[in-house]
Amino acid sequence: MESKPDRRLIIVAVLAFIGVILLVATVVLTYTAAVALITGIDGPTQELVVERVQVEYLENTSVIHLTDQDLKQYPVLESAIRDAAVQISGKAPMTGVENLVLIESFGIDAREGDRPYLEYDGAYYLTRVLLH
Amino acid sequence: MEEDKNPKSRSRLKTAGIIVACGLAGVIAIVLGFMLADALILHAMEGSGGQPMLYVMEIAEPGESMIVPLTEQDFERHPALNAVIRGEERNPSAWEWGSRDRRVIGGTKVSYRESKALHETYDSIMEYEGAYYVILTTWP
Repeated sequence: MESKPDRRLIIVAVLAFIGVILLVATVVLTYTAAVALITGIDGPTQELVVERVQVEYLENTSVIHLTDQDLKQYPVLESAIRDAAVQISGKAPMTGVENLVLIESFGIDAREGDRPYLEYDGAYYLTRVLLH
Repeated sequence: MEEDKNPKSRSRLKTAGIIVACGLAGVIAIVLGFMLADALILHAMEGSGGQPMLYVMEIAEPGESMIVPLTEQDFERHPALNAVIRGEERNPSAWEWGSRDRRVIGGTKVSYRESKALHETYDSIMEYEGAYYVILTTWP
């Protein structure tokens, strides 16, 4: 009779222990897997390089005229262009999805001949993508 | 005979009860663990200072993928989607549209929570007024 409550206590303790272990394991596993997925899904880190250039002939080149809304919508491009406006060259890290978005919006990754110039506030810029 | 059987079946019942309780505790712990990990990740990302963005890409041909039509309810639930597809954030670039079969039509700032919800809800091709769209979310 006396050992009954002890037994119950032991069972509850074992259950609680199993529960805690599973809880912690799930949290740790999910967290690490998700962080690895978020940071690794895009592949290696990429960098957008923007260089301010002097353009004399614009006859056979495409020029994309950037607006303030463009810069607001593309923070990576904004960061690199703002730097390039001051220091001639600007860099900004980006993920694979950001790279894809910039390719489809401004042709930043196009072949050398096709690459459009970007124009903002009277200055012209060329873009490159660096892979790390 | 009956007196002999009773304690046996009782202990069997007890064992079965313990196994069921263990299983239940395990399932509850795993579900709680997933929820906690999810909340932790969102909390960590929101504290990172990065700005997640939502972009919408228009595609010329949907192919044979599943297509989900966008309704007014979708736009009401997700104002960011509304702003990019038919609102003030619609801002398509003219780059190569015509020779390529896709273009980004705009983007807007969203919270990590909203970004995650959008990513999970709209993982297929969407259709609105005869145009096809896919969404892209960035987590810096």
